[in-house]
Amino acid sequence: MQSKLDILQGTLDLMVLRTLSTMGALHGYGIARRIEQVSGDRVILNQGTIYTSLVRLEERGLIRSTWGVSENNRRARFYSITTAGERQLVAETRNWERLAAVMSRVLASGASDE
Amino acid sequence: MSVAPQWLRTIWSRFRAMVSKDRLEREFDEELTTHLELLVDEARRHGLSPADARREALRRLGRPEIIREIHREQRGVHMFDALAQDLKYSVRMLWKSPAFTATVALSLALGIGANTALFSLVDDLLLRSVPVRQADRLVQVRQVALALGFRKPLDAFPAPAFDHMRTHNEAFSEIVGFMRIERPAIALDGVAEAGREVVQTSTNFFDDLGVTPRFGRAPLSSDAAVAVISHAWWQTRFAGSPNVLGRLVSVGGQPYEIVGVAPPQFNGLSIDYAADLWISSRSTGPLHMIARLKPGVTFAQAQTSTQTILQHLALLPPDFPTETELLSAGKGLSQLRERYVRPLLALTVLVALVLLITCTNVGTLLTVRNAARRRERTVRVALGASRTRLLVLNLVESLCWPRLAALWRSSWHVGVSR
Repeated sequence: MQSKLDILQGTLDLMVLRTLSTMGALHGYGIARRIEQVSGDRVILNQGTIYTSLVRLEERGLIRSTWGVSENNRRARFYSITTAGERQLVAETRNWERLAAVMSRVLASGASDE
Repeated sequence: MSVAPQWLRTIWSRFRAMVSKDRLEREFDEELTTHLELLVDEARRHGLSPADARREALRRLGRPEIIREIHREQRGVHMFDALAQDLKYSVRMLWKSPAFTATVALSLALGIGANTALFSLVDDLLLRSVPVRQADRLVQVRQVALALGFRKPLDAFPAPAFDHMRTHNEAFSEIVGFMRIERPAIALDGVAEAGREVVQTSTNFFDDLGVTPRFGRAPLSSDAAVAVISHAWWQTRFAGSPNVLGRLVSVGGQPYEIVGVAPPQFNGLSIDYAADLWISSRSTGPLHMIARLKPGVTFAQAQTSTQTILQHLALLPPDFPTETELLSAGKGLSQLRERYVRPLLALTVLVALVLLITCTNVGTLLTVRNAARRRERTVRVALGASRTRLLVLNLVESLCWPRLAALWRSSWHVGVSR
């Protein structure tokens, strides 16, 4: 793949939820780093954009945050997923898989027609 | 797990954001700084020089000012901020042109003030019902003698007429009587009380109107001479003491025992004055007749049947033709109203027109001023203000006027009505 993936807003939210569900509490840098690593550095964000996602998720009660100390000994806000967040994650994952399945089927049919 | 719906959460979080704006922004700054430092450390671990590491970190994070701005807007801080700014600016503009401000506020204050003052009068006189049971079914019975083109109303009936009406009519469920006593000589404990309004009532007055005393009891038909005191007088003269019951008050030399205190909102059936004392005895002079229509009985039916009964009584000299008049009494009796309804309505229309003219004047003044401020607006647009933003500013400014005028007006109104 040549270009880095552009990510949709909802997609980023889903990635954040997945990350927090797997890793437990993380700060913004940790979340961004983890997403980059898991995607094999294919998804590159302006790491700052992670915060729009975090604010949105926190306003919806899907994640919560507490203050703690980071590995470089600074005050950092640690985010963790809530029960509502876990439920949302399951539902959204299912949605995403369905969408992905449909998309690949549609795209594949186009390829075989050619 | 919390059950608060999502929109409520969002509003709550925005509200908190507004209240603790500074703290939130400080915290976000701190969060962002930590993030940046972590990125710098990472770049340093890859062997970059401090300067390069910082540059690399900034590249990966994005420009902090932009992130901060997005964050503020997302938190909703921005919107309230802008509104507060507009408000501050508007108030400053008002201060800067005091003559203009005074002119606009004064004309609005007069326009609004005249309207509210008149409306309170219209409300008292024409709109508000007296606080009794089924006020809308109450009528006042009058007989009118037609003589030589004059209408001479008879609106007070002697006790026998009441008795006769009660036994013979089929249109009314209850009939009560009352009459204001002109300049009564009142004495409490031998001390004269001046300037009090006393009303002579039929013994069933309170019970049949459906006015329950706040304290004590209503007069009974078996009572010889009893009185009910108004809530206001009870408060001022007896300081709300329960000892008022059983006290004797003398009206015109005749002693009456106080047996009850009227509810605070009840001032009697006439709205031209507020009664202080209602006296009740078996023998009375002529009284105004107030009757309550039975359910299902129409005004016209009641009028015909009353006409027959009253003619039979022959209260007026027989040489003149008479007719019976029923007046709706639910809004209280008032001679003021009878005389002033038309002028009052005309005045209401007039005052409304005055307000309209005021608005036009103020509108023109504002337009002229806005034209003069075109330069300022151009600068704002040049600096990137959006159309909505300008509109909001204009609205906020315009809203300041009525607020100011209303403040002025209410202080003036309180002064007038006291």
